[in-house]
Amino acid sequence: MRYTRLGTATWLIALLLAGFAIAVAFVRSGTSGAPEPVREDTGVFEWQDLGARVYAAECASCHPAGRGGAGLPPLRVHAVDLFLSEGGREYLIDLLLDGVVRSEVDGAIELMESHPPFDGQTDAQLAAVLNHMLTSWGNDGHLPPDRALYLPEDVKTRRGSEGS
Amino acid sequence: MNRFGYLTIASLGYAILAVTPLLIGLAPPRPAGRAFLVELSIALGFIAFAQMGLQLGLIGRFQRMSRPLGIDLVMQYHRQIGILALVVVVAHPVLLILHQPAYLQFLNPFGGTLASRTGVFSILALIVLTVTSVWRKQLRIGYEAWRVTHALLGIGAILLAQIHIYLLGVFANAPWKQGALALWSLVFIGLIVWLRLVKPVTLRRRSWQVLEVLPEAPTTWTVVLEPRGHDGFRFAPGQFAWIKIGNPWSVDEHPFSFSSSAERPDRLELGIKELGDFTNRIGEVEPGTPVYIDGPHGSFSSDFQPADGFLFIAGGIGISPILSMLRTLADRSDRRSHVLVYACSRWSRTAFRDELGRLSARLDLKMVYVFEEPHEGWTGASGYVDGEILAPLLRRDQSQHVLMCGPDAMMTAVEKALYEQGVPDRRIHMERFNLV
Repeated sequence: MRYTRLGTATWLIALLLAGFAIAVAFVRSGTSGAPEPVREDTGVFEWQDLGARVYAAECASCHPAGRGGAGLPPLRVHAVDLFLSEGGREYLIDLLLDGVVRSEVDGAIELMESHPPFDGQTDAQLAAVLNHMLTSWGNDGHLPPDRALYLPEDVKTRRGSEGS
Repeated sequence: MNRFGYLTIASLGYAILAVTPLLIGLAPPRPAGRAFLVELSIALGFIAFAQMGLQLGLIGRFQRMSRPLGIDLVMQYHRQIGILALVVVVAHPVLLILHQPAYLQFLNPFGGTLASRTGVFSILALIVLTVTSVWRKQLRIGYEAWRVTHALLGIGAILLAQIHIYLLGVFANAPWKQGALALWSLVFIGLIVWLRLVKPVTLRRRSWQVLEVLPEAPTTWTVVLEPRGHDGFRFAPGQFAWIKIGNPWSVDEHPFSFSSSAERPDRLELGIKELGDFTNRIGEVEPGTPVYIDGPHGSFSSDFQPADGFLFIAGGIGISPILSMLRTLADRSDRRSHVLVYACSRWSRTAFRDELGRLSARLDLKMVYVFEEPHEGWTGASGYVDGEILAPLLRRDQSQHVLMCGPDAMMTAVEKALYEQGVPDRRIHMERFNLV
């Protein structure tokens, strides 16, 4: 009998712990009150905070501190090269929306495997994370000062178009 | 403290420990929340990680922790929750893939990042650990080999999971958190290192040696031990110990019940039947061989029940702990009325017959033999112990407790028969040990 009771107790403990995990996940996945990145008065796209948060949440696990891994290219310098190349500006947006897999850009960039698509993110989130990536880990040193970064509209436009 | 109080505190303590790594991960600096499936995957991952450490704590054989519940129950729980934890661990990557199918590529043990690889190998280690434990006999894995690989796979899985969490850096995102999680693993791994490597050193100071090995019946032996350099070992009749023969670090370690009287702490006897690799050679052990004892363990004892009399039910070598209890009661000139139902295959294979005859003269003890294959002229009970045999032996006017030890199938059937006869659960006691 005490073995039957033990079996019941084991299931109960497992279910309670699973329930706790579900509750924690539910609470944490609720969106927090994040400030609107486009300020009403100036119309300036404030991407810094949002970009850092989205990067930490979505990109950092595979690209910690802008690094790569086996089969994963780094973002340091490499991402800027992509951005500055012919068609690169649109390419980076497509990469995030569709998950790639365009083979080459400007003949100088290596072939990539698949990249997870993030089309579930908003235009502002994608534009912010791209800007964060282009200006972190010394990448901003490689950007020409007159080159504009991304705006949410850029992503919106690209989402509407075909993109090969 | 009473049993209910103990259970409450133990449950609370266990619940807190089970979520501690998760709470450490969620403490400030708190990582930003993500999609539900991702958060669920991580929360379950941390809870499974906690259980991996707790598994080491559960098998630490800590007497004060195990006594109120029964160490056999604690071991059984280790087994059951281990299997459930594996299911949760596998759910961790499955949920991530459900959220983002492209993550499937990270299941590749040779691709992905170092972080994903350590995770994959941790899970693989746990799968091998579980499969070799549940199906050890079918896979023909020797007990000693199983013990070593079980410990190494378990510790390996914990270390790989630890590195996995550290490399991902999302929840181990501050030095204090990294340190806290490392400390958690260190404590539990340290416990096992202490149990398997350090504690045996203390066993060496209170060692025993074989005095003689006596044949009791075909394939049944009594191993008699005498203390080396100390006065002996106090135990409650019915308890058992893990016995190592030869050296204190031997992985050849098996639990055996004491069959000797608890009133004779300087002369221990173990009743052993030839049932496997280790026990098959017990008859060849030489006098003078050193023996190391880890115990006493177990809550199965006549000393632990306030009864007006006992109904002992023994099947085969299950007579060992019961013999210990009867001998002890006789040495103490116990005046209560007792009954022994002793089920064996046949008369010629029945161990300790003469001794039981002597004990029934010294005690108010009624003996009932039950033979599966009765010999010619046997007029007593035959077949298996059932309600018909038990009914006339039950004392409804008194607080009679049942102490039972035998093969699993027998105990299950007899327990059912006792319920049918109206014996309440709290007066039926037994210990099961067939874990792996």
